[in-house]
Formats: sequence, C-alpha cells, structure tokens
Amino acid sequence: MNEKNQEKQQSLLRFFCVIAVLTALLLILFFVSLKAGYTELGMPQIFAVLMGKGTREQNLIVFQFRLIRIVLAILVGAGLAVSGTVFQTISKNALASPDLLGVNAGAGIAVLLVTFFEPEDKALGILALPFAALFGALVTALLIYKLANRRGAPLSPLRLVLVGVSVTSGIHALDMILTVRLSPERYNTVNTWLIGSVYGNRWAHVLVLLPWLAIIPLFIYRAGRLNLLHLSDGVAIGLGSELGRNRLAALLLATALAAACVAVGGTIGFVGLVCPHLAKSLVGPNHARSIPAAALTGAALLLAADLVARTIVAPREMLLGIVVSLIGAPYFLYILMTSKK
Amino acid sequence: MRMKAHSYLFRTCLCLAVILALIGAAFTLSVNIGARQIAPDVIWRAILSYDSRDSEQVIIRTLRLPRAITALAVGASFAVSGALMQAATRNPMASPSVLGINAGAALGLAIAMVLRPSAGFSETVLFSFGGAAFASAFIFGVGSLGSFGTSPVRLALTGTAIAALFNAFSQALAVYFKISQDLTFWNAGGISGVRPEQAALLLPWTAAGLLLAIALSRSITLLSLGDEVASGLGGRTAWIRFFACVAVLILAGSSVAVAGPIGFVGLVVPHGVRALVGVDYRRVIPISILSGGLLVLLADIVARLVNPPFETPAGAVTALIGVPFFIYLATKKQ
Repeated sequence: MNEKNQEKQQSLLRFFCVIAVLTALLLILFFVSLKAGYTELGMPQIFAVLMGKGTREQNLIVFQFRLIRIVLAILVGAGLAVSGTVFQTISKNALASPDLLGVNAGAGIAVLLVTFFEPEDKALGILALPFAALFGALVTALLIYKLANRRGAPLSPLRLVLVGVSVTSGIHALDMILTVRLSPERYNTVNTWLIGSVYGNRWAHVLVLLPWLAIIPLFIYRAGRLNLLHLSDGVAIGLGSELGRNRLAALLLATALAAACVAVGGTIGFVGLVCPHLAKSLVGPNHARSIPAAALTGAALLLAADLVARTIVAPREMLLGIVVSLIGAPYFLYILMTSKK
Repeated sequence: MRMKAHSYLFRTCLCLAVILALIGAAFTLSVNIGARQIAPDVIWRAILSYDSRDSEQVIIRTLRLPRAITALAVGASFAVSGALMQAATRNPMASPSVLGINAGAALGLAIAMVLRPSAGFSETVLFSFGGAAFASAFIFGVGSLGSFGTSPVRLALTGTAIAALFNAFSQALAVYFKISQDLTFWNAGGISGVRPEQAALLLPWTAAGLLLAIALSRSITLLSLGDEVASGLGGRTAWIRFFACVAVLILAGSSVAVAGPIGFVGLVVPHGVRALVGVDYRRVIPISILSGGLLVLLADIVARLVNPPFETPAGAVTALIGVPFFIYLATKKQ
C-alpha cells in the first residue's frame, strides 16, 4: 500500500514537473514571439508596452500585430490538441485526430462556402463562422463514420483513418474546384487560410474563438467520464457509465472545439495527432492530466511553428500550416511504424 | 478452361473496339470544345493539310491537339503505373498517387523550378524522375522497417503520410521562392497549358515506359500470383520488380512533369480493366493504356466545361471520381 502511494506521488510530481516545464516553454516562446519580427523590440520595451507605457508605434506593433497572432496560435493549438485527445479516447485509436478524420476539412469547406461565396452586402459576420464550421465538420464526421463502419464487424482503426484521409482528399478537390474561379488576390487569401495561418486576424477573431475554448476546462472537469470511455465497453458499463450518451456528448464537444479552431485558423493539420500522443507519453492516460498537458503542448507547438513561419523568410511569411506539416508528417509516420498491427 | 480463355479473348476484343471508338469520339470532342467551337472539317484540314494563315487551324495545331495527345499519354502512363504497382506489391490500393510517388516527382519539379528556373522540359523531367525514385525508395524503406508488408491499408496510410510530407516540402519551397502561383495550379494536375514542344518531348518517354511495361506483362502476371509461384515458374522476381519499378518511374515521373500529379487514375483504371478482361496482364496492360488515356481525356473535357471560361484542374475531376472508389476498396471485405 505504501509503495503504491509512493508511486502515485511520484506520478503526480511528474505531472507537475511536466506542466511547469511546458508553461515555462510557452512563456519563453511568448516573449520571443513578441520580440521577434521586422521591428526588433528589446525586453524592457516589451514590458513597458505591456504595462501601458509604450509609444504609439510600439503599441500598434505589439497589440495590433504580434499579440493577436500569438494569442490565436495559443488558442488554436490548445483547442486542436485537446480535441485530438478526446477523439483518440473515444475511438480508442492512436491515429484518430480531427484532421485525419476529415473534421478539419469538413469545417474548412463549410467556412469557405459561407465566407467566400456570399455576396458582400449580407455578410453573416464572423460570429456565425464557428457554427458553419461545426455543421460542416459534423456532416463530414458522420459520413466518414458511416462509410468506415461495416455492419457486424468491429471498427478497424486503420480503415477509419484511411476513409478519413480519402474523404479529406475529395474535399480538397472540391475546394480546388470552388477556388479556381476566384481572382488571384482572393485566391491567395483563401489558399492561405486553407493551408492554415494565424496572420491577418483581428481581435474580433480572438473573441469569437474564446467562448468555444470553454470546452477545454469542461473536459478537464469531466475527466473521470472520459477515463471511463477509454476502458473497454464492458468494463465501463459495469461501472455504471451511461456509455452511449457520454460518448456522443464528448464527440460533439470535441468536434465543436476543432471546428471553431478551423473557422479562425484554417485547416491546420497534425496538431491534433501529434500533441495528444506526446502528452500521453509524458503524463500518462489519465485525462485530468493528459488534457492540460496536451493543451500546453499544442499551444507551444503552434506558437513555435508560427514563430518559425514568420521569421524564416522575413519580411515575407511562410505559412504556419506548412511548418506544422513538416513536423507532423514524420511524426505520423513514426506512429504508423511503431503502432501494433 | 478453354471456354473461359476464349470468352476472355472475345471480351478483350470487344473492349478494345468499344474503347477505341470512345477515344475517337472523346478526342474529336476535346479538340472541338473550347472558348471557340471549331468545326470537325477544320480539324481534319489542320491535321492533313495545315495552313498556318487560318487562325482556327493554328489553335488546333498549337493548343488543342497537344492538349488532347498529352491527356492520352498521361492517362495511359498513370494507368499502367498503377497496374504495374498493384501487381508487383499485390496490393489493390497501390498507385503512384496513393503511395506518394507523384508527390515525390512534384517535389523534384519544385526543386527544379528553384535551382534551374530557365531549364527546358528535357532537363526538368530528370528532376521529376529523381523525386519519384527518391519517394519510392523512401516508401519501400519505411515499409520494410515497419511490420506492415502484408496490410494494404497500412501501406496506403504510409503512402499518404509520405505524400503529405513531400507536399509540405513543395509548398515550403513554393512560398520561400515565390513560385507559389506557378506551382499551385500545376500541383492540382492540369493539362490546360501544355505546349506542342512539351507534348513532343513527353511522347518518347511515354512510349519507352509503355513498351517496357508491355514487355514485362508476362512476368508481371507471374509476380501477381505470388513470389513462390513466380519463382517456381522460373521468374526472377527481383529483376521483374526492378524493371517494373523503372517503368513506373519513367511513366509517372514524365507525366507529373507535364501535367502535375493527376491522382486516382492509376488506382481506378486497373481495377476496372481487370474486372473486364481478367487478371492476365498481357491483356490488362494494353487495355489499361487505352482506358487510362480515355479517362484523362474525358476528365480534361469535364474540367473545361465545369466553369467556363475558367479551367478547373483535371486532377480535381479525377479525384472526385477516384475518392468514392478508393473508399469502396478500403472498406470492402478483404
């Protein structure tokens, strides 16, 4: 008993260490991101600006340009990573994630249809975007589930992902057919958003996204129920869990979280795949711990990727989605190679 | 058994006749349709007695004919590549686009655009071959490291991951060197901007690859029966695989260099052809050449009709046909 207690304490200690390190990393990235850019700002200047004592020019740079994209990268990264964690739990599949399951692509094409093909005068407003994204994501997710689910056979994880990937490429073809008719400038804007980028947003985007991120604390609060979903169905029912309703609720919330992130940040891939995997290997499968760890990992990954994206070819911009793919695709391969048959 | 062989022969001849007739019709349509409708008799005159003062004949000679011929060549190449790969890996989901070979060729071309922006087709096609060869080495290297030699689904997923990686590299190069606009439409797979010189330079490669594939067809049939059977019947499996791989690289690499990675042709066509004429690759490969050409020719016509006067990438059209079929393959009982 004593030994077990000790083990418990050790894993708790490990959890706090991981969280502390990730938070520190995030803070460092935060300040480096504020500092780096076309106009280099020193640390004292940044503190002055944050305290409200900056010059007008400095205020403009920090609050209207850098801080928006930093905050968005953090929010989108955290959202996608947590959504991925829950997807992996529900499907008991290490490869499940909103991007591989077509949720991102479905959300993307819905937003594309709403924003870019609507007459200018009756713009729905950005408040409606997450809802459109959610609708597209749900339709796509349902379609993929129906296609991959064979009656009378267990749902094969690999088949589910393969169907997701192929539906995604079908949606990309549709994206292409829809976007070729746009003018070159408009096409560039749309393409940038489709590949994924947090550049050129306003504070309104942050405000639109923020309420949806309340889903993350909700997941942490309900971590016990998520843990039950991870068990085999028989055990969970035996423990008195209302499996069907729990699973459906978790699925809906995770989809909504990913869809809202896509509505603002575009169809950024691989975050929802890589970060949950990393988080679980760091702090174990308990959701009360893996969800906060995944959120921090996701935020740090996207912030770092955005930092690379805007400094590597400065003063021009590399797209965030490309940088993330360059990290994410090899990791996907690694998971594929090491996962069991 | 004899009866069956006869009936397959009969079906092959029938298919041949039907497909040739369809190609003739589609070819005429392809040359006919565009921003300017051109009467069929002008087409014949442009081919037989060319008069460079007639602007309609010039359009046909310099724009429409190269385009239709390229569509046929590219379609045939992708279809035969797919047939060879499906036989050599005994994996129904293998094809140059699914296994990432097209994406590798595309990366090679992006590198060519960066390093040698003024290079002609005969030089860039070599980069395309290099990229395709690198991608195929990569996927078989990764494939032999993991434990998934036997699972088609897993190999297909690995190919997807590799394609995603190569695409990200291509995009990064495109953004870094500001060749994004050149690359995007081309990357989607389109033959709208093909010039006569390109078509002329493509055809020798296509012919070489197709001849090699036809020469291999008997051995490939053996290989598709399994390594034990193949070596038992006197086939040298390693050499057959090597030459099949060379043929795939030539065909897919040269086609991607001209038309971009037009996906799913190599996946869909061999399945359809095998359903029609059986599993003997001495019949599958010739019929695949014709049906692949027909498919891309039709896709290119649809691409022009979807949203005139704009061009839609032909790759998007083939993807919309190919994706449902791919899902059917991925979900059907093995």
